Amino acid sequence: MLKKFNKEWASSHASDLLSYGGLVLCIIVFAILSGGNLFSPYNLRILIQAVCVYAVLSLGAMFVYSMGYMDISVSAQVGVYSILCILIANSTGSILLAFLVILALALVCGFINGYVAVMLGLPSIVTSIFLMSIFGGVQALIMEKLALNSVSINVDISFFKNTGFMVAMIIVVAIIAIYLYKYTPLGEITKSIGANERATEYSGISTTKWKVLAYAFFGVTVALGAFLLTARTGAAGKGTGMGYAMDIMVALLLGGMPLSGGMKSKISSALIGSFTYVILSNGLILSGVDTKMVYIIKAIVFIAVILITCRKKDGVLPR
Amino acid sequence: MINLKKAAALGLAAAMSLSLLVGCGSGSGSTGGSASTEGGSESTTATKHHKIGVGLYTDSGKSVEAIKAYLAGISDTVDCEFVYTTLSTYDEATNLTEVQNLISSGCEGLILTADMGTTSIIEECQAAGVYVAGFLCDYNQSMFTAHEQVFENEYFLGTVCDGWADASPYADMVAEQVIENGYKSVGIVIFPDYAYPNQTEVAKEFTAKIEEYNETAEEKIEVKEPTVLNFAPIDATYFSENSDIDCLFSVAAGASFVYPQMVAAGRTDIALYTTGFEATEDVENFGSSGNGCYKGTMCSAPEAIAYPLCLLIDKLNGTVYSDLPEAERVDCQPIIILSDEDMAKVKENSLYYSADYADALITGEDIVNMCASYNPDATYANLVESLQHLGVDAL
Repeated sequence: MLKKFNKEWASSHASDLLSYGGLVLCIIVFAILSGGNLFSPYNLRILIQAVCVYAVLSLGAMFVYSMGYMDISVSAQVGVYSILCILIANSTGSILLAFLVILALALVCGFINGYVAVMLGLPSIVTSIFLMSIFGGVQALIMEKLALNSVSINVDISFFKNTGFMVAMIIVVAIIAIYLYKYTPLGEITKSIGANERATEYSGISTTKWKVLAYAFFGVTVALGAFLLTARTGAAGKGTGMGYAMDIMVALLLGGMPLSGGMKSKISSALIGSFTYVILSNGLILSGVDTKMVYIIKAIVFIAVILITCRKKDGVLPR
Repeated sequence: MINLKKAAALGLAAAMSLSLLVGCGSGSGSTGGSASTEGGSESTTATKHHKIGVGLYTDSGKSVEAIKAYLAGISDTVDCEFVYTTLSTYDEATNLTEVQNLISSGCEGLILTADMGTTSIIEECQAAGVYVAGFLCDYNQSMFTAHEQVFENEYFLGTVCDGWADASPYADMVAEQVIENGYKSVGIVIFPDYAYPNQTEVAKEFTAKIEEYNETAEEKIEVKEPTVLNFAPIDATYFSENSDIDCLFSVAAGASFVYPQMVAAGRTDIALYTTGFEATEDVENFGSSGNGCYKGTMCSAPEAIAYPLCLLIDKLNGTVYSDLPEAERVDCQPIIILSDEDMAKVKENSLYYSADYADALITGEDIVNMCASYNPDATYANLVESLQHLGVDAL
């Protein structure tokens, strides 16, 4: 039995060991340094609230990152969807309609990222830069037109900010993502595109179709993430969503996701990474670390993960 | 070899992180004791220990340095431990998360300097039984769009503004200086109305004052239409498009958003009146010093934090002032620097500039004396009155 856990096994599961080990280490270290506050009922509730949006977004982003792509328009998209969600809900009184509208918009963006980029022969990052600029401008424009720094929702959304609902959302999205990733061709093909897109095309697979599907699923999670964020704060403004694109990337890396995708991509990275990222932020503050030091420590952890997960002999980025 | 490198990287990162954790964690250790003695005197006041979270609008700068120095100075006397975090002035979710983290770390009361996501923050605080008070913030948005949820909530205790909620008197002072110094063409720079409506009012007041002068003046002063800065530095073309201006009234923080562009454009010959005080180039180039570009500025004394602190301490101790009104926002006397003499006073005697608690206008003992729970004779009126003696004249 022990023979199974030899050096070879450890080497082949190094990424898993590091991501799971990192999470366990975070929990142990901060449980001690926070004097047990990490596990207080209140803290567990806020951890779930904080993890929820990251986990939902990361689970969708997994499909895009598996292809070796990234979508930097997420932050601006989340911001605009949150504002629209509030404005539509306030004017119609229907939270469902508000969600459906932002869902439709998110799917259109997924289509633009996945299909239009291929049609125009552009890397997806270019279309995501385009979307980021458009959404960033729209977000600023809406707030300027409203002449407000922040707009609040007038519809009762207390049900959606309930911790139980948020846990349920994480579980439901995780089940769907795991199913799509492990039990449909979507997971294998996105990983294959990440490993070698041309080889995937030569094997007769329509990469465009799967790219669109991957981005579409990401779009669904972006809409859901924006909705959950709105439910949590009950307000949105010019800076809503800011930083999520980078946060998702960091969370996925902490979860052991190779930045350039490929066959080593794992769906568990999204959940492990989200929890690690949130516990790291929360734990540092509970431990009384100065806010400036929090940034430095996060940067050290980030660079350490990059160095450790790097498997290119001559490269910098992990793959 | 590669594995060795990775192991070394991991080890180094872990060691650095742990050393930072241990170092920083121990730095904010809790203060003990429930009584205090001030200035070596024998008189002691039995105090209760409280942990107060302070959410600042930025994590660096002279103002932050002075606020932290002040709170460190009063900490033992008022028997409060202060925990800091940095808030966002544009993202509700960030602020809610920061507040949740403060509550989770055991803070019983919060002093916040940003009105963003306040409705959900107050909701969260109410659920957790944590009180909130404002500092350096007019809570304008909450005041006018969520008054019931914020100002009428028992967990929101009130706020002290960054100087005056209506800073029109400063506009009048600057206008008088402009007239007195004979400037002929004045530009105005403000932040967007949706974020800082009061700045628009200041600009209007300034323009009105100059127009009033122009009615009888032989040589009129031209006032340009206000230029709105979208929280980004002023456009480089501003100075070529307005080459005739000899004075600029940047109601928006000029030290960060205007002065560097003036230097880049070679237009430090323009007289700059602004708000905010970085205590760097705005000191070196003020009045007769340096290039003399800065002619006036206004900021708030860190000691004004006494207002939210007293309200929090009393609430946490279960005692309130007999004359305590409903949650309101109050003004504090700003530090207005319009001459070399003013600047000299600020440099020599102000806590804002020195970040030395010895220069504090309101001491820890004063705060204890102003709390109803520690001094039965203390009144809310006295607390508010104390905020009116924080200007240059008091230095």
